Amino acid sequence: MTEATPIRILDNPREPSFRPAMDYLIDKRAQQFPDSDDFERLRVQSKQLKQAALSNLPALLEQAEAAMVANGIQVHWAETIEEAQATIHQIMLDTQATTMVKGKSMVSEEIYLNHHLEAHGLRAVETDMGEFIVQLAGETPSHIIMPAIHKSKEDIAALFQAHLDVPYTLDVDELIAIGREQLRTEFEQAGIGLSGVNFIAADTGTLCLVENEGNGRLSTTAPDVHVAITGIEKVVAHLADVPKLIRVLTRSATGQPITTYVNWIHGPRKPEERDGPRAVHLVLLDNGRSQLYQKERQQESLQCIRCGACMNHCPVYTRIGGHAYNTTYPGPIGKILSPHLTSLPDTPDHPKASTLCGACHTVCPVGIPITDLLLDHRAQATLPRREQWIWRFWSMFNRHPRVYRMSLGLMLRLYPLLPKWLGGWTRHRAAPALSHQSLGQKMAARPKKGVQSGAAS
Amino acid sequence: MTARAAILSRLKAGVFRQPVATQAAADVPYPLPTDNLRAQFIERLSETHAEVRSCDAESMPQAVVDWMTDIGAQQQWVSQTSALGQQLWKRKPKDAVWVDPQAPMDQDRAQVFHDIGLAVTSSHSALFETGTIALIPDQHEPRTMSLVPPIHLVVVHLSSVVGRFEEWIRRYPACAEHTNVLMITGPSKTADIQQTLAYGAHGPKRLLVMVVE
Amino acid sequence: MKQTSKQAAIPADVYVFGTCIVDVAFADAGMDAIAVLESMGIRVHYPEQQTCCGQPAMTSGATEQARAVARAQLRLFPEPWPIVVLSGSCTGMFRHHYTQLFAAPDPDHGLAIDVSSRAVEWMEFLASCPPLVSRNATPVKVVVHTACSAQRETNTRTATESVLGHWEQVQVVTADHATECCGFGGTFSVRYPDISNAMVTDKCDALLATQAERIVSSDCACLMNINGKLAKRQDALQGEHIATLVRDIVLGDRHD
Ligand code: SF4
Repeated sequence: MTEATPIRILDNPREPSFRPAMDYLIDKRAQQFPDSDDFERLRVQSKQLKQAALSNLPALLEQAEAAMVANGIQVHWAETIEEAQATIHQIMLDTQATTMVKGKSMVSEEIYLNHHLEAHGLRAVETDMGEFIVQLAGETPSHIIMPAIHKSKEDIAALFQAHLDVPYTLDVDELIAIGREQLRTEFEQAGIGLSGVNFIAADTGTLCLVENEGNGRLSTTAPDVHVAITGIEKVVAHLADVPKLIRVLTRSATGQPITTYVNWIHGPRKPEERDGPRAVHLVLLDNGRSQLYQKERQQESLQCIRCGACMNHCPVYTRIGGHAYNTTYPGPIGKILSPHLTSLPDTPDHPKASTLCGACHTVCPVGIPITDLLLDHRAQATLPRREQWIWRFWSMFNRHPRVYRMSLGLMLRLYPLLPKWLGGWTRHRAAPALSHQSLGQKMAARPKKGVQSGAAS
Repeated sequence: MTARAAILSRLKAGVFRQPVATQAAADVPYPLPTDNLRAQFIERLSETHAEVRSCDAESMPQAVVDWMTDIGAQQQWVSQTSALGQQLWKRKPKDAVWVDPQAPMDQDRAQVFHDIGLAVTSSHSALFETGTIALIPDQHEPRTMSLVPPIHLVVVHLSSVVGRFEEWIRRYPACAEHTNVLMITGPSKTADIQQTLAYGAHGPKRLLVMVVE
Repeated sequence: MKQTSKQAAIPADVYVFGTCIVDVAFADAGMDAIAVLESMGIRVHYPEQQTCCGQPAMTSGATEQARAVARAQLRLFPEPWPIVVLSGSCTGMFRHHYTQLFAAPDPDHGLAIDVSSRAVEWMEFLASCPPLVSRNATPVKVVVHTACSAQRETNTRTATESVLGHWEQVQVVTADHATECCGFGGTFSVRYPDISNAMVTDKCDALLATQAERIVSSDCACLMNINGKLAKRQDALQGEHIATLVRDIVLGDRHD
């Protein structure tokens, strides 16, 4: 980590936009929540479960740790991404494995694990189809649920042809079969597997993973060692809470009532068992979460269950795609989370790159008030000097009705709200047409009949 | 200070807002259908893209063997020690090639990953709402069976069907004592290429369910 | 005017809060809104001291300036009358953000609660009154754009549906992605002109694709954005404040 230049969101809409992909996900989700009252009930329930867990987080982490250790899981804590990298690197060295097969894990992206392992001469192979595609292309995921959503079938066909020495085909079944074959060889050989975790149940020490492809199961079953990594906020109090959260997670994410696989892991294989990893590790990552936990309002972003619905519904994400955010987590959740991750330099634009339309907030299954948190970020940030002056000027006008009314021309009064300093506005739009006389002037000019135009009657 | 101590001390110094309790948190009951559960459950399973047959308890072993014969995979995994497997082995057709899975990941993995065409397992229970089948793999039916072969045939007893996930977990708290618990809904799938649904991403491409009344 | 019995009574007096953009850029629409209210027999009180609700500064992070301006508005409504606001998002500002802006122990906390409880968006107000009789039977095809914050923080959308739905000659059509943001977002449209442009372009295309004769909205910031784009492209239509449409229907043709 260096004192790097701030990370910015690029003003770079893509042509064509991601609209068809987003519409697909939006429609699938909508079918799962046909009744808005029902959604509201589930949302309140999920929010309460997450808030109840978070309000007791330190105790639940200790409880979960004790339960996991009793089950034979080795628990590691990492304050920084460097600590997490080093922990996993060391486990890999101890295992004497040179290749790691990976199930989908955004936290492993957050700690740049692949890069770290490769820099030390080790291989990390992404096995989720979307992640596999993205890795082949030398990129990072552009969406937390659909990593390769920015790639067309044609892109993928060309990528496979170039890297895997297979004929060019646009048949999706064939493309998937190619990926399957390719990755089976990796599963056959890998000595270590990594996965993320969707929920940890504190009472039973359960690691819960949801997925559709089976690569998560393979990564946690085929190799001799399984390493799971997740953020400290993923703990919930009871195993019985998990089905309730899965109910909203998968419906919000991909519009499925449940994923193909829900995998509950309670530890390494027992002596009598004939498969499963012989060692299971869990890395609990902080990376700014515990500092975020101390912030009165912003802490609510820890409720996130990473369903991705906020990005699917975000009109900005739809136009620019995930890579434009330049952070591991894109979209609305990325905007409120990235400023808190200690591994990142400043992300001053993230809270500003929003129209505050609230589409994210409306669909968030755990009721994170994303727009309010964006506003809170803005209120906490120090405005650039020029903007401070503009708002002081604006305030002066608007606090003094006399100045407001007598100000020279309407343009001046609208000045802080409009073009000129607003540069790009008129590049794409005509300047606003102003009224010849303001409403206030018109009202003041009316003959006073029954109608009054004063504050007092 | 260790990372653990540092993280916990920061968390203990923070206060997370308490949830506001409301009525909304209550679970809505989800009773099983009282008429024709079998047909309705089969419908739910079919919606998950599973292939379904049904039979009664008495004809079960033979019905499963018949289905395996219909599929005609060259090598098939049938446990020699599970209760289900033992019933099946008694009926093994002469020319069928059946293999006990042994310790699947400790043997020749190439064979496991490429040669086995089908595996048969029993199930623990099922969820009506989502057409989900719960498996608790053990030494008799290791977890690889439901994961690696391209076809998974699973036997589900109608009497084990529960309404939905929330009730299931209340009914079977002891599931937490098993190393691995699995809920399976339909065959392995992905929509990672241009939102086009494709089956058989990494797990079984076909899920066959024998519903036993 | 015929009235059905169960409708809420029409108040004798209301305040009108014009909002700064209506004041400066949609003054005629403001007069239309007031004309409709007066046609219902209501005495309209327009506090001369009003300026802006404070929203632009608040959403830009200039909380202190927003609070100062908002505080000046709080004192303009001493009588217990409804405060009819001519813009949806400003109604949301009054209703949801004033109580936070003036959270206890702010001395104006009580006043803020009172003002926020009386703020009502113009279409919401009409919907709460007995249906208005139309004096203009000319059929018209209309598409409505509702501001995002108004969708979340007010009942403008349903109120508009119910008010317009009352008149047979008005055909309301729905645009593709009707609930999506127009891309304005205050300073967003300045910081991210190209993203904003991509959004407003899609919005204009969708509105025009409905073949509606009139594009209306209760939100002037959105209208400024949409109209700026339509004008730049030299599209034939311009969006109008919904009050202008309602006035045309309720009071008939203009002869001035
Ligand atoms: S913020 Fe809400 S909608 Fe967005 S990913 Fe998290 S849980 Fe899902």
